[in-house]
Amino acid sequence: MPKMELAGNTYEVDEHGFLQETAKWNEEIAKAYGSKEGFNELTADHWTAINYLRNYYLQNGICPMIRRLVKDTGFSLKKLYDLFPEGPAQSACKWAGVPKPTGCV
Amino acid sequence: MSGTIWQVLTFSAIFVFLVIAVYRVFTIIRMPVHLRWELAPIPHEKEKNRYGGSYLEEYEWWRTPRRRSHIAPIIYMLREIFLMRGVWKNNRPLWPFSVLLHFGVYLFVITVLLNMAYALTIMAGVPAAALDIFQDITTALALAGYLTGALGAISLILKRRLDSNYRPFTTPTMYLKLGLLAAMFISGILAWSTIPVYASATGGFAKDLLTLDGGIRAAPALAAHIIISLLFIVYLPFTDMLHFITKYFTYHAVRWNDKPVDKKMNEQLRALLDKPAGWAAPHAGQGKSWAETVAGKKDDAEKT
Amino acid sequence: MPKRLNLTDISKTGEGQLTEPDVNELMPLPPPYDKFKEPGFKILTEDQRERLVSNLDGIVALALPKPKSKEEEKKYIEQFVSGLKKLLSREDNWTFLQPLLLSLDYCARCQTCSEACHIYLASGRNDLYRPTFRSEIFRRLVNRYARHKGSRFGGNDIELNWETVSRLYELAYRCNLCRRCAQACPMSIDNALITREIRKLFSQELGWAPRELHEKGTALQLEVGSPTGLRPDVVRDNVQFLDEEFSESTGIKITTPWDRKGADILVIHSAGDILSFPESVIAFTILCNAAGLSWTLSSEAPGYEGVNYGLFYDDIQLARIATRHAQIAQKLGVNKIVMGECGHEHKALMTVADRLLTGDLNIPRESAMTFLEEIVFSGKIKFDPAKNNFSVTLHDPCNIVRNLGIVEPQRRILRYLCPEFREMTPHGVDNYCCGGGGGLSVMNNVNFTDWKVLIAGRMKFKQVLEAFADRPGPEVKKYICAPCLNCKLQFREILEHYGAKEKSGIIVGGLAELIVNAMVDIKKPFIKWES
Repeated sequence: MPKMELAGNTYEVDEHGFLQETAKWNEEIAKAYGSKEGFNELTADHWTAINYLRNYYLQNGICPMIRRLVKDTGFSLKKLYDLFPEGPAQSACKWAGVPKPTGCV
Repeated sequence: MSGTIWQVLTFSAIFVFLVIAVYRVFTIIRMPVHLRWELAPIPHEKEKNRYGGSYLEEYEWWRTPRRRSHIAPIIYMLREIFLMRGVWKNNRPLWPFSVLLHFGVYLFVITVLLNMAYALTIMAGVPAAALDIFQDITTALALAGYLTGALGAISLILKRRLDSNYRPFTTPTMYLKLGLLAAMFISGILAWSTIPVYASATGGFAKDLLTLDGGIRAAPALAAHIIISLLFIVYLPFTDMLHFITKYFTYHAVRWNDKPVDKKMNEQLRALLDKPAGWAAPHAGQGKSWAETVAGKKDDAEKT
Repeated sequence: MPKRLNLTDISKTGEGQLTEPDVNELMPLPPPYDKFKEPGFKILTEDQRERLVSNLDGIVALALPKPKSKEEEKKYIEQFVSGLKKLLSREDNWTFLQPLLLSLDYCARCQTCSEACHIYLASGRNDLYRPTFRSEIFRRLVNRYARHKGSRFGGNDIELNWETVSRLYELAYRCNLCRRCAQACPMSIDNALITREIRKLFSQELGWAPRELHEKGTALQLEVGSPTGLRPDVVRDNVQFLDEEFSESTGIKITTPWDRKGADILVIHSAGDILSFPESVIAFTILCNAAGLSWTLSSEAPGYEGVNYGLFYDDIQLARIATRHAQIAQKLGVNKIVMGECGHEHKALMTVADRLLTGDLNIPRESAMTFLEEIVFSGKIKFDPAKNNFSVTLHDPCNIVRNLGIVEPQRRILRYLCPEFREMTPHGVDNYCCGGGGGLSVMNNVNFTDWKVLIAGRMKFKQVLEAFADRPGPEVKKYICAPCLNCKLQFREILEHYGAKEKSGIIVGGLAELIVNAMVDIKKPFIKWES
């Protein structure tokens, strides 16, 4: 497994940079991912989405479907793409330290 | 060349051919029932074969009796055998060469049969003079076969050698196969050109063969042609040229094999599922039976 | 890098790649995509080159770590030979022994199959992607190392070293298992079968398989219920959420039934649709309820997840999942199982595993195509085809159409409900694969996605554009009807890569949504065209 440096520490990631040991996540890691994609600061909206995603994952074992993310955060899909350049699945899940979705999705 | 050596050589060659061919076909037939792996279009689907449909399209297909066409698969196979249908459809540049070679082979077989027919007719007492026209036809077909076959074999050798799409895939054995075929047809042309009425020589030879006549003889050119042909017949069943029989299985036993499970198959499958699955990976059988491996626990396996 | 290769190149030592696809040599696309500025294949990082085996074509699908010692390499080679022998054994491979041996022994090496292969043609005719390249190498290895027959004269000149083993493993995943080659072959040799047997050898003997297919695929499905990770409680919760959302947006009460014992019909969707194409799942609910059918979904793992990745690479996993599906249906006491819009679910459960389900487990199984056709033409629901006022073309999923011969039911529906329906060329059993077949749709490791889009999916994209060529501009809405989730995912990748929605107005979806979109009782359009 490859390793990546995030917020001063080295973590195991997959080939697309997703954190493999989700329990090791902290907010600094989210910021580190964000800055890699061009965001030096994460806004309150960022945190709303990230926290929602992470909590949903920890409770349900999967990332929430887009409709749920849109409904429960109140952010439109366009807004989500403004916040997370690669989109909810690629960026937001990654910054939230949640594994890349598997299966036919 | 003359004498009983001809009977010995000819019948031995045919014997070897039959034994090896039957053995190889037998090994295919003996193989266990396999999982379904059919492929549309399947010709035996009545009406639906127009567009490649199958009975699985039917609403609750298990309630309606299967409607099969017996003639459509035969027509499909005849087109495949005599017109090289697959090559025509999907690889047209190759088609002329393939057709020439196969026509040569078919005409060769036909003339052999015609010679046998002539021999049997003579043995039954029919005067030779009555069969003149028959002999002329046989003579013409023999030459047609040799010419098309020679052209086909030589052109295929050249294609495989000169075309960079084929050269990396062509082995010395393939050149040997085609070379032997070419030699068979070319020696046939030579024999034909040295004998005035070709069929009378070959017909006479056939009669002497079947009557085990010790006086059987063949002129040098014909002798050479017969020897090369016998070599080919012996060699054939050891190679993939046996496809003329095994195509029956690749089509009927696999590609068109869409039979749902029946009682007899159920029994065969149960026996196979009891066999050990010896694969070594952590998730695999490692010696447990298929049924156990799949179900997890022996008592979880299917009921009767 | 060369496009013309020799078979013996497979064992070339020294870690070098054999070849590399060149974006400038690929099969051309129709306008305006002939002018598309192709960024090209994503390049491996330094770190990846160091850690991973990348000795085939510059593309890495399998992320195989480099062995640490010569002993380790030797072990794998021995396991490979052991696997070859097991493929030839009655006990270990009765499942495909006869088809395999026939395909190994009677190939004429005439290259007709290469002319039928969308991958070979799209790559610009790179020899590496010929069906025969992989099959012939494997054939020679089997003859030389497992059957000890043949000679150099017959071509047994492939050396079995670490390079051969590792390259063959990666090469086994450059095929969609679409079987177009098998169709074209005059001998009926099946190169897709041989590819699958190679994958099977690696999985069942060495325990090597793509993570997406095994660890996070069949194994995850057997453990929690689905490769998506959906657990029973989560799947019920998600579908309930969708029921509510769609009840609100359509104005009709939508309730998806779960675990109804004694129902007539068990429907098994590809669970990923719940997350990625929820309109499809809800459309089924709407139609079944409107037709008054006695039906149910199952929330017992894995009864809500119709996929069976074992079909792509492993008989044991295939058998396990198919058996579980049948056991769940048996427990519910249903009269038939209906395959959802998932191609390989059809093939796995309806035909391939048919002979693994003995006795009572062999419950009747029906295709969604037939099932939906029966509903549409039953007269129970009123339709207004004019509501589907956009161009529609049909993609034929290989596993449903070419492999099972289910061709017309979906076409009868489309001819009725879609006034602007047009076929691709070729279509039906002669179709081309979308490029996502054989499990490739869910494989996105390292830099594999680019290969899928640019090579595997190229022929299909060309077909789509040609089908819609009458009015190519973005102002005309265009719907690719693809009744298979893996195909939809592949189309999604392709359309995104080329910006085809913005440039040409093309979206992709399933069949059930198209039917519901034409329902008179659903006032607002069911299919959404804005993102």
